[in-house]
Amino acid sequence: MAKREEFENAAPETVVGATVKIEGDLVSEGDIKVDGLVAGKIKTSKNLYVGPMAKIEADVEAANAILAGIVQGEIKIKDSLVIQETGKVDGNISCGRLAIAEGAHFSGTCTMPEKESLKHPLPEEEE
Amino acid sequence: MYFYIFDPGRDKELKYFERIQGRLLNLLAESHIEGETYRITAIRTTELLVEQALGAEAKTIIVVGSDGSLNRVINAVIRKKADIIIGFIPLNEGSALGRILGMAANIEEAVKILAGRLVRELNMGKVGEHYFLSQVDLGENSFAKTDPGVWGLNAMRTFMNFQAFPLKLSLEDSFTATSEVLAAQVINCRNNDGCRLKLGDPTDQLLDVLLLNKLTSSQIFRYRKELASGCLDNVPGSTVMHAKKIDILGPKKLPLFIEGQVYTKAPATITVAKEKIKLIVGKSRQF
Repeated sequence: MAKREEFENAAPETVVGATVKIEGDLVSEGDIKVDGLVAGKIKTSKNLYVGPMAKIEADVEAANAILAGIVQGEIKIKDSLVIQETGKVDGNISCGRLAIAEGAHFSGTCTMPEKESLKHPLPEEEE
Repeated sequence: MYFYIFDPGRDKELKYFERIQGRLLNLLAESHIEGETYRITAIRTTELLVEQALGAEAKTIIVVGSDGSLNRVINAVIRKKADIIIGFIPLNEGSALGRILGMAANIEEAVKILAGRLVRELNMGKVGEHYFLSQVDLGENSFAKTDPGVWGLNAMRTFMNFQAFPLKLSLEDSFTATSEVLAAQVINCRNNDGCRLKLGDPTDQLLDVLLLNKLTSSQIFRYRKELASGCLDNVPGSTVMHAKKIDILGPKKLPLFIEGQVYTKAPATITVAKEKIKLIVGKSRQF
């Protein structure tokens, strides 16, 4: 699972600072870290980190995401989504794996693809 | 054939140039890369000398001078749509382009690298009708690499006088970014020595946008050494974005600097140019 330290140490390719306001479609092929405001859409084929002071009013698509700020919009995460204790999510989520920390806020629905192992249960052993 | 354009430039470089001129010509002859040599004067401009080099069917132009000299030759070559290789011998030890290209300010080393003829095709940035290899600084607040002085106090005094300004950019016609910033740069390539992030790869077809948020006096004091390093990304909270096309929407009349010289004012568009340039580079290049 993606860890917050990994984002902070790995120097993401796109960083939106705390005083920056973005309006429109923020699309990147690399990691994105948001500490400011984004209204519109965020899309990356890699990792997204939303900082505790960030406010996102946008639909979000990423491979993995850690949300520690406010996010309002549809969230589609291919693999792992972590909502941290300071995170506040209003919107529907679709993700492979989900972790919500105690104290986090989540309002919406969550859909997760069924795991292969659950789709095809093991055959019963012959006596 | 090699065509040498000497641009002694400012006083400091001129003195150095006078001192090394003879030794440099001997080294070029020893390495079998001697050629025609010309010196830029008020009458014999960069553009005229580039035209002369092309007329003489030179295969390589070597610029001996400052980063500004190289920039002017590159512009003249691109405007002539010439297919020619460019080399660079930096006269200034602090040459950022020299460090980026892996060209030592030590002339013996520089001549060896030129003789090695390792050529790379590099992207250029374009602002208005002007091409640039390094970066465009938006606004008058210059955070070039400076000697921080004792405890970084000299640099801090300068930075304290800088005024923040409200910047509005549009990237790729896809989104707008607005922020009050103390400094902003659009980078095609830069000297990454001492920088936290490796930005400005002139082979990736992208420009990097670096914004330094407005800082309080106490933050300027705290980050004075990071600011004096010239790497705005060393200050926590800086913004980094990437694009092929950046529109500088405001503030209107914001000056855009290249190598310390104003080339245009906002509103303006900065793009990755279609044209590329062939440059001789060293093994210690930063890309």
